[in-house]
Amino acid sequence: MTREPDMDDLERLLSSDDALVPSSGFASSVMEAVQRAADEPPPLRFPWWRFIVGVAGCVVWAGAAIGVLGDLELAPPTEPLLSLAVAGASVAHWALAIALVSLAVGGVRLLRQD
Amino acid sequence: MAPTSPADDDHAAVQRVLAGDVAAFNGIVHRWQGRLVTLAWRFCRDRTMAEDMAQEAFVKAFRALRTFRGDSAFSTWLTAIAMNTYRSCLRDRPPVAATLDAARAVGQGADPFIGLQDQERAAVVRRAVLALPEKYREPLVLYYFQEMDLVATARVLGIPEGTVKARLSRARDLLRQRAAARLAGWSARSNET
Repeated sequence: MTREPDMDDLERLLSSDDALVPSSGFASSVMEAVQRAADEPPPLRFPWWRFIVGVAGCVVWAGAAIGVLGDLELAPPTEPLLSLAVAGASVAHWALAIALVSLAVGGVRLLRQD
Repeated sequence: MAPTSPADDDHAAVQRVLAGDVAAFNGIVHRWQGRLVTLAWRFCRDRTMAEDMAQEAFVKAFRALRTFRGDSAFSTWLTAIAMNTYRSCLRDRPPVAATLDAARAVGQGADPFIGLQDQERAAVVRRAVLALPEKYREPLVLYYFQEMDLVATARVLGIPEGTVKARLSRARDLLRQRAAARLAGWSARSNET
């Protein structure tokens, strides 16, 4: 008849587990692996600054594009190119200025990083 | 010269390794190899796999040595890294079924006053531990087999002490039920032979 182990019994059985002695070459094998790890070149870091500058640039360009398109009025079919140029010119200088600023900031960051 | 404690030795070894003396890590390996290999073995019951996992844990600890800030004991930090390593290793590899014979062979160095029947019961309990869900098995192994206290167990697992207590209690309940079922099955087979 097998009885269910009571709590004391269970605690005693759990505490009676033996330790495993590592094999004789274990430590030297670990040190070889550690030495290999030490000899590896440091992992390349993710280029966060470039990533952020790139994302900021994309956001600025997207904003400028939305601004330009939003300000455009539909041109009469007779003179489409002229009306596009006139409407775009009012915001084009803003878009250009924003692009220059973002490129300047990005360039400064990259120079500092290098 | 005053004798140094293992904790002092660990801190000194960490400083030397961080200063570029890779060989100083050898002291850490020698001090902790037994505990890390035994801990791994308690999760897989396979010597080769246990040593592979422990080696991986040491290499990970070496790579992460800069993150050791000394706000907890080195043993706690190292055991936490080992636990994370073993967890991912055991997910990648199929579990090794521990046979009663294998458990019996390892148990030969046990207390001679524990009878054979007791050793077999202990082996059944250990196998039942392996079959526990991860969240119950881990605190049980750390608390009972590695003899860590509640605080250290909670720190290693990154959970509150209350959660450790609750999981230990649930683990003991599950273990008692499952060990009883296994013992009943094993006893029935023994009586047939």
